[in-house]
Amino acid sequence: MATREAGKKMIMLKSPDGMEFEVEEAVAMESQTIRKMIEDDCADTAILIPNINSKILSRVIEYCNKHVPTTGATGAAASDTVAPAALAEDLKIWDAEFIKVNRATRFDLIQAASYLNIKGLLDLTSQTTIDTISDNSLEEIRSFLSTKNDYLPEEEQTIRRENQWAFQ
Amino acid sequence: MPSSSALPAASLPDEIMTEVLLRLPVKSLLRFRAVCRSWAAHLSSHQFCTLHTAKVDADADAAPAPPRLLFVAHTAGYNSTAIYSCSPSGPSADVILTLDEVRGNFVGPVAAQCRGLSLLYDAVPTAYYVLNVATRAVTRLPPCPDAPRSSAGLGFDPRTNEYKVVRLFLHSCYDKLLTKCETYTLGVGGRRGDQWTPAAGGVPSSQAAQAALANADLDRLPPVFVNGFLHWLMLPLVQKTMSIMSFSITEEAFGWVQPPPFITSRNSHLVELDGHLCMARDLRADSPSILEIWKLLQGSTSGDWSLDYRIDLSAQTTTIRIEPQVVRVLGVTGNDRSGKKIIIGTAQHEVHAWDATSGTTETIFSVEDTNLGYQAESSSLHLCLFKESLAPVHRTNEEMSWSSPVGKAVKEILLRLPAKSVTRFKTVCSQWRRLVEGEVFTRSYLEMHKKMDEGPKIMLVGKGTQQAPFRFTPLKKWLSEGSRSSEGARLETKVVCSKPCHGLNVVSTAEEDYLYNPCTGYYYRIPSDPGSYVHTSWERPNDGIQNSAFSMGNKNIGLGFNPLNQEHIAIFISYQRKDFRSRNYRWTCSVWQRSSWYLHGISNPPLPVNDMPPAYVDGVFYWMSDPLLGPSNEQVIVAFDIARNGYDTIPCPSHVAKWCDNGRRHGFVTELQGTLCVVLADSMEDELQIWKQEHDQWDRAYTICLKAWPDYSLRSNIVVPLSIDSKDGRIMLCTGRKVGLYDPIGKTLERLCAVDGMMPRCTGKRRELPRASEGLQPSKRPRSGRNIRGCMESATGHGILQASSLNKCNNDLSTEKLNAESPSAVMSAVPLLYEESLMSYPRVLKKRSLE
Repeated sequence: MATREAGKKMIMLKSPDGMEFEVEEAVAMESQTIRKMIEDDCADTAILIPNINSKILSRVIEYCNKHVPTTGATGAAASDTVAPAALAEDLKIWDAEFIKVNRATRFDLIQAASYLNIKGLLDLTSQTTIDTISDNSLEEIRSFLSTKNDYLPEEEQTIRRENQWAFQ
Repeated sequence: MPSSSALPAASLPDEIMTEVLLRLPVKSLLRFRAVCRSWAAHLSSHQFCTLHTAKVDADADAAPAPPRLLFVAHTAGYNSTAIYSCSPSGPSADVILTLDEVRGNFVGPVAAQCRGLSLLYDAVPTAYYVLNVATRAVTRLPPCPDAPRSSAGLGFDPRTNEYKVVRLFLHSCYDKLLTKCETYTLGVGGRRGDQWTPAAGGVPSSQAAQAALANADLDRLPPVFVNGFLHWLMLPLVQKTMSIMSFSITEEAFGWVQPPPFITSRNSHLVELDGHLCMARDLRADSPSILEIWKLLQGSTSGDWSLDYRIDLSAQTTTIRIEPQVVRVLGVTGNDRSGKKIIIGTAQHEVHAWDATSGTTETIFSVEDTNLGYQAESSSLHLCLFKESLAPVHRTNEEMSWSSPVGKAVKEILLRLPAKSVTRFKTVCSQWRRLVEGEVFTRSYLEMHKKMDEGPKIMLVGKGTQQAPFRFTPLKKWLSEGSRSSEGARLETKVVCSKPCHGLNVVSTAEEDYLYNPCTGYYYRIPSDPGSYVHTSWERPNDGIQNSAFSMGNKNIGLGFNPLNQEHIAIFISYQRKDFRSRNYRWTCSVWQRSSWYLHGISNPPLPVNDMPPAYVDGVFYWMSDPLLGPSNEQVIVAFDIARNGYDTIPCPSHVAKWCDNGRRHGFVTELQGTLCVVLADSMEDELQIWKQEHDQWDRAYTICLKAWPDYSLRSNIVVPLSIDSKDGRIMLCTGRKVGLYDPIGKTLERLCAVDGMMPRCTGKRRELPRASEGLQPSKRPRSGRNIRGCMESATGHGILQASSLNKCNNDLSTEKLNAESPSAVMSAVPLLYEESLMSYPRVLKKRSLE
């Protein structure tokens, strides 16, 4: 059962390491996964969020808190038509600051965003990752993603030659 | 999906990694294939491709972006076709890829993309290309039969996840026109045998199919792919109303779709909008500026159409001009939430977006604003919308075999072989023939052999057979076989040959002119110029250049290469009258281009030109003016710029410009080592002066004194420097019957060959004379050991050796006399300078698709 505080519906979120977070329902519903649970009435007591530790979950909640007033109830990504341009700009700066985390944390955030189905956060985290890697050299990408190069040198050359324009 | 061990599972699970990768632009995805094998496999998989397409669609739906356009145009040099991507936001169009083998003005209309792939049609030679603009991958489909009329479309078979190209065409068979339909399935190495196969379901009645073909061809309307079917709109030949022929990609069978409930004129076309088959009805002819869009309701084959949009083209702020002949609906962007926009293209290469909610139109692309410089209105559209896609373009077996190490080696070998051998090897297999006959190969072959620089190449032009007007014998063979071989094939008429230009020569007789490739024997008879039939000989002060071995009566022919359309061009100047006393003249000038097949007149040059053939350098023809005619008695160079289609005059070196009336000096132009040269022949001094034009300056490059070689004397010969050997710097001199190499440093002349100038059917006594009348018969002479190259004679120094190299002095004199007396004497053969080349033109003239 959802708790009430100052007229706002509250939801309890539980991380697997036992931490509990009390958030406004509107904030929690930024996550399409949680929204569905609430709408299906599966959220009687606290909602257990598996796979997401308290550190990451707190950051996710931080993100949702920041984004909830501007996105309204639709759950769509921050839209310039709803919020004034200045506010959107503000949010952008906040996002940029928010995503200044190490690689491991960012990957955890991607996974969390993916599981909780928070489109804005997933876009933000994925896009940041993409921006990091898309201009890197292949070697940097390999080390960034801890992947091994299993091509023979001539095989890699062939691939490079076939799509030469993409390597320019 | 790759195994989790291969992907960096430590950092992100596979499905989330996929989620991240889907956001990457196609360019990065292509690059990431080089990260590791599992990534390459994953990123190339059908599954990832499908997810990517869905993602692109979802993104477009969430935030409608301005449409991206694909634009097909020929390159500046006309020798290839470029595919550009344009976006309404910026004026710059980026070249996505260039099809070297496709001359731009032969490409057919561009159809809408089918799931990320586009189909392009090249009319000459009949070839189809499938390309993915996003990945810049392109493949040329295996050849298909030539057809007087054809229409092809690209479809997708959802059952097998395969793309199919469907070609409907007319096939002439014993005076009867049959309609045929063939399909080609794209796939790895051509899963279906890499070839065109007849459609499984056959072809509907010929009349119906021909009506569909007629419409597709006349209005340049490619078939439209919607939900597994290609649709052709038929011309209302069969019934009063138009109907729609459909073709199921899966079943490979034809069917019918009931058309909308109105009698359609020809101003209608089909288009796919949001997965529906739609018909755009252009009513500009009846009620000005109305364009209706009718939609075929889903699942309805009985013909339930609804009128979805009625676009008033006149009520716009930026009006779609009424003038464009062709207005086509290209597609739709946006969704119900954000408002739909109908994208309309015009034949003036403009694209407009019509907002369905507000009813306003804005111009989102105009070729005039781009760097394309391609503005001519045309009857077909060369643009379509495109979306990013990873859809693979598989290479055909043929392409794979040529890109294999063996294939590459074969190609390199073929490039270096003599043209005769390469021509013979065309019969090895059809794949080799296609390679050798391809435009790219022909071009590289010409360049390769120019680079290889095999020295001056001379052939002797003799009388031909019934099959061909002339016979060509390489110099070496001609010398070794001696007169025996040439005996039976003596020319019976005067023949004049041009210098080679881009691999071809012009060989002319008084009546006929042929464009010839002496290496392969390819020839084309240039239509005759009516003006050239007049054979008056003018009474001219004897300066020796009239009716020389280099001119043919009153006809002056130049061969060049049009840089605009990359085809040969010949320019004919013929005098109908010359009066040296009054300095009056009457003449005509006409041009022949292969693309037009006939001569068309052009304005005459600003000054009368002399009888020597023009020099062709870099897209410009140059003649020397005739100082005996017209207002000026100074010599000036007259130039004709092919691309600009206009004349100019260029001053001569001052030394040459002054014309002296004693008939002892004359000037003419020639091309040497790619630069324009003026040659002044001074017969008093027996001296040739060659002036080179460099940086708009005339430099005296060579002075050739011919006193030591009476057979090359300027008193009895016109001596033309044909070329300069870039290796040893020797200048090839030609008198029209004798060819020699002059060394400007050692001041020596090596005679290469000499053809006798006797009339045909000469007496036996005459025949006993050495063929090379200057006594080039090593067997008769004690110093034959010097003549390593058979009959070739090297004479050094002045006079002394020369005298010894001439057997009989009186023979020399008689030759000189013969030359002087009958300069138009018929020779048994004529030397011709040629380039090793495979150049030829297709016999059939194809319709140009883009004017």
